[in-house]
Amino acid sequence: MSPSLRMSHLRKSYLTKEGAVVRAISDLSFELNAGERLAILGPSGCGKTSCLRILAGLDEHYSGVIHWATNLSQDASRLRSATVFQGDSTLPWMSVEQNIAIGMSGLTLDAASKRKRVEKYLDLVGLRDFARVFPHELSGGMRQRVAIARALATEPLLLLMDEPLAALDAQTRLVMQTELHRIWAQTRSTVVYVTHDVDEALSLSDRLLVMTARPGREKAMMGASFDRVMEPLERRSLPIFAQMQAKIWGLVAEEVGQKLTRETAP
Amino acid sequence: MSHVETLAPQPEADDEAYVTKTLRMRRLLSIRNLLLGVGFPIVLLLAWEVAANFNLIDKRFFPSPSTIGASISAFLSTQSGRVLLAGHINATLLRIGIGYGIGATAGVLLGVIMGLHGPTRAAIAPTLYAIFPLPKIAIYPLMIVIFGLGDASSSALVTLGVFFMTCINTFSGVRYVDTIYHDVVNAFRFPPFVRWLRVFIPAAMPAIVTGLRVGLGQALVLVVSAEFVSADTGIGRFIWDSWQVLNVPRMFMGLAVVLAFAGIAATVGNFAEKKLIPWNRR
Repeated sequence: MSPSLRMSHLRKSYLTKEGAVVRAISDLSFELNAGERLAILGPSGCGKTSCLRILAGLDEHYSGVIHWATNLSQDASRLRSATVFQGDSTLPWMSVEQNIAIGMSGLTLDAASKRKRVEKYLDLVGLRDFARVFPHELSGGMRQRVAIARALATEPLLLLMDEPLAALDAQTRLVMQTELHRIWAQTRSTVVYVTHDVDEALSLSDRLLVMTARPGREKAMMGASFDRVMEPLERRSLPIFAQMQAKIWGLVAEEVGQKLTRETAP
Repeated sequence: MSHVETLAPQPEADDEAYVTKTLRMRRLLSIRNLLLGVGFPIVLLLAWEVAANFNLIDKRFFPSPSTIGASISAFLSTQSGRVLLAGHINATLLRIGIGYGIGATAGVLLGVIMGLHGPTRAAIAPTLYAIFPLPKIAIYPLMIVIFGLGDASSSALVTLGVFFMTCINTFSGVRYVDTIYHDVVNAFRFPPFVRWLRVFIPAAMPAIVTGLRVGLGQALVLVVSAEFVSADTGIGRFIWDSWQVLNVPRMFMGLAVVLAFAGIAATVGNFAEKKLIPWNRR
């Protein structure tokens, strides 16, 4: 299978307000196959969100090469990448269906195809009965489903998720993990999933990239040792889940520890 | 074990009693608050009435509410009285209408442009914020020099006051749109028209509506002030003339008209809020 995305030697620095240069990412490379889910884990401030924003096209100041599979990136009826943000990103002045439809406003699509997609993804996220409802009448989990449907409706080459469940309570998060898995199983999207939740990363990914503390680079890249279509709850019940969990926690803790000593050292 | 059961009363019966009691408490509380809210001004009027009747206050300046009421109804029962008052009200409404229409339109437009276009913002914002604190009535003499005495200068003053209020509110609303919306329009590659008309302007709408509401209050203050100084008509002129001939009941009638204007403005504002920003209800 040819890679859907190849990222080579990504570096990213930014300027603070005081004019100091901070290196967020130093030399990050990975490939992603079509339909694959990559989870990016790492201590806070490791550049995982920076990486995601670059892939989302929200940040154009970086060095390195991002190579997209060209046959798809020239299709005007699909977005190259679509993002599900961490916080509530629905537009409160629009109904659920309008929120989903407006995500496609940058695409070349006739009204009928747009309508069809809105209905398809409303069904997929289970919000058909809420099409005409406004976001302030929905729960946080339902609003996040709207954001997911909006991203999916652009049928992106790459679906980016920036801690999409972080703002939800623990029970809703668990339900939504199962939902995300089911949605992925039906769409087979290519996904980059940024999180700091090890369980979530293991539950929802095919591969995991653990990043070092800032400036971020690859600390470890590993395959999740599960059947790809295995559901989150089923994954959690396997002994290998706990083993991987411990291993990844170890890797992350090392980095957090280093970061702490670096920050407290004179 | 029987004593344990007596400690745990029948849940359904208990719930029912609790619900009935709470609902009754809530109803009583809302009735009490309504009575207090209506009762307080009535008490004030009664106190005024009593004070005037016992000559505790100067009746020439503060005639009792009943006297004021009687002379208002006598005034309004004559055809000439009604025509006179209607003429003044129309004059004031026309000035507010013209001034508010021009001022609010220009203010919202410039506010949006300043939010949208960096160079315009950089050029205009410092001057705008420098002039803003100036009490608008202070430049009324200048308005008279430019527009002459009468309708044009008072409308111009209203225009100016409304313009500043709506422009600054709209500008800050557009400028400080939540960054998540910027991320959404950029990540999803929204075309420029969609960005502005369907995302940024609706996102700024609460601030725009606030500007429009505050602007309407400002318009009322400015039109009455301008009419005090230079106008032959208008409700401000009516109040001032009544005061000068010591026709105090008529002066109070003028005040009542201004209060009614303000009440209508607030009602229109509430309605606009419900229509324009239904998601923003708190």
